[in-house]
Amino acid sequence: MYVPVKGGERAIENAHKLLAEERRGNRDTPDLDVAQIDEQLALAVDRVMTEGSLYDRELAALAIKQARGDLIEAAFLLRAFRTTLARFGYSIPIDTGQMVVRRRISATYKDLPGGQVLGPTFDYTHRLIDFSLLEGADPENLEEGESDMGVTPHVLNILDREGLMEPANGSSGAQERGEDGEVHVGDLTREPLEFPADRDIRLQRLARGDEGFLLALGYSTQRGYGRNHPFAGELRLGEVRVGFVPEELGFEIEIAEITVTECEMVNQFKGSKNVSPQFTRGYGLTFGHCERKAMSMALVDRALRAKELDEEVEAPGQDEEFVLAHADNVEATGFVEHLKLPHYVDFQSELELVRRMRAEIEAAKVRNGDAEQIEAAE
Amino acid sequence: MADKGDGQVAAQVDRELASKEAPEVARKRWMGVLARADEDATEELWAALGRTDAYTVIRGPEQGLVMVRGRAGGTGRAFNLGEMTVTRCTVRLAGGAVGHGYVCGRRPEHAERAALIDALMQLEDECQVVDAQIIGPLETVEEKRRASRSCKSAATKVDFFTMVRSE
Amino acid sequence: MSGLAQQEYFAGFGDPVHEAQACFRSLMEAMSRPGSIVEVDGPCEVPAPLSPVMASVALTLCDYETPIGLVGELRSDAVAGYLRFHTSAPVVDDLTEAAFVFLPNVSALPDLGTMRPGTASYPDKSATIVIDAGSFGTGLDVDLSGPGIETHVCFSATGLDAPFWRHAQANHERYPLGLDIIFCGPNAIAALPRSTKIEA
Repeated sequence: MYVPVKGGERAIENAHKLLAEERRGNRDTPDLDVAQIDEQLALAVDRVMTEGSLYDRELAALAIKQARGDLIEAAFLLRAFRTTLARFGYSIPIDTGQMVVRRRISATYKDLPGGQVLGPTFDYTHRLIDFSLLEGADPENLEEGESDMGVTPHVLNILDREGLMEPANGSSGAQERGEDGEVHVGDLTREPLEFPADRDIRLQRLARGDEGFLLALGYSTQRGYGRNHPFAGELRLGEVRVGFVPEELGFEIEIAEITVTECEMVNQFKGSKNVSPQFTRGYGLTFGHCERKAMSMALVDRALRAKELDEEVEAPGQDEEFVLAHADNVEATGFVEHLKLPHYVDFQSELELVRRMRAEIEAAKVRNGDAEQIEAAE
Repeated sequence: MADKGDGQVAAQVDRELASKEAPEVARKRWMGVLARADEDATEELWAALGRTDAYTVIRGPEQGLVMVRGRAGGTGRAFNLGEMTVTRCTVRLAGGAVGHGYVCGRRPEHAERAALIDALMQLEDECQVVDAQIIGPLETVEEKRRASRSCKSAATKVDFFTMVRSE
Repeated sequence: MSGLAQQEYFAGFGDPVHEAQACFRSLMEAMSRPGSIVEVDGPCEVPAPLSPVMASVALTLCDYETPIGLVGELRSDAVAGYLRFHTSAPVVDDLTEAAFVFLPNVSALPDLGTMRPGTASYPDKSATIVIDAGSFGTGLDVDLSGPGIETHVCFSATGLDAPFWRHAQANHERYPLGLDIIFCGPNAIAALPRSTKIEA
């Protein structure tokens, strides 16, 4: 039976006011500007855009402010916001080969066309707390190098040319085409997740997925739960143009320049009956600068290709349903956090059930006890 | 001789293709510049032009989403990466020319301005001035920003050298 | 695509959010009180033979995910281009795919069986038919009753004849499946949801 209960409006209203008060904090401290979050907590903004699955720096920065720095809550806010907007359509797939790179490294080749460009990285820092930041120190003057603004070729093309690397599509071959000849690209914002999922759906799910979850899964594959011997073939960060064909124009225009991080993992593959031994790939792509996420995504993408590559599916990271069903932190947080909502009636019925069961056991004991006494008496 | 003949035919085909594609290529350029341009910078250049063109808004300005796609392995199978905010607007000048603006982010005023500039860029008498006073300068700013970013990164390029063991 | 690029452009709502909201409110009123006449304004520029009121309904209800079917004289490049441009809805030839079907008049009404009535699990996956009905209060009078009508209401509109009403009653009898109908007049609409019973 449902027992409707009303009340708590005032408590809720006051809780929201208290939240706003706590968000603002001490009034002697200057209010945080959204532009400051955008610029100075840029990696938080990047993560929220990636997991909120919406590229809009200002909006992500605002969401972080509203969520008091809770990045999953901020991603949730972006997901909610996107539902208020109309979809204009799909972009032309971005061409990461045309990226103007700001960071580009490869762990597989020392010398490569375009070189190793470290860019803005935490690598090689000593991880010592920098107390000069307490004082708001200005950064040192920057040295500038010579840039030809040229296109930096993908590292894996080198192996590709030798035939040692599987094609970018993997062994699954060409994408299915619809009746109209257009390639169908699955879209989780339009269709529910179904299993088995094709690689396009898997990649979309992973791209929106929680960094922590993917990091742990990626790590587990390295530790032996579905080992596949990864190398960071290439990691790049930079800007790409986004092309779009408005129907009224009928030709492609550019609508934006966005920052993305791309990771290509190179994995060993011993070969199968039909395929000679070669290297295989795992792919990671994120909005903004989300290096750890892109790498984890690439590891998990490769792990999820186990079935396609005739590998034994034995570890959590290779279990498509397990990974894809639990990767989304907005869904996960919704289900976990809903446990906070009133379950008074559910719980009352459980309570009654447990009491009844105990009472029955007690009654049985008493009956048995009586029986024993009677037996003893006889 | 046959080679030369083929070459001439090919060149002619190239020219024909170029003239056919040129308007679209040119429009793609300025629409792209406007899409990425800073709103304040655009307004400043627009104000300096001192125009007061009468126009009707046909559609929008409308904020919406475009789903950005990537490709597995950079060149393989397409997949949906995530959405981005885009604002679009369409205007018609009193003379009938129609302009479209598609700009990144949530920028209704900028989308309307971009649509108006796109409409003016289609007028033979106006396009040169508008190009020189707005599109060109915006493009220069953008190129400078990209070059500066790229040069800063170029300084972080690793120069490998081999250690020579001294006896 | 090239056809669209060459099209003549007509303006949509001047104030898209508020005009669409106002029209939506009218549609809700009309749907919840079947047979009542509710005023609707249209955008000032529309390609003939699309009426401003019908344009208003389309601009309010249709979007990227609602395929549109156009029947009779409405099946023109100008109308299709206008609706595609403003609503982003795909225009489909096969009416069984359409979420909204637009008709220039009742005589253009195709067999109701060619439009989707929803499924037992998802009766909402049905088509809504939008008919340009000329004007209200002329033609054959029928009695409407059912949800949203206190006792009964008398309704008529240009061109709605006995055969039409027989089809409409047959549509009602399939409830909860069936089609919902919106009639567009010169500056008003009326609605006939599938839940409404019709008696001559």
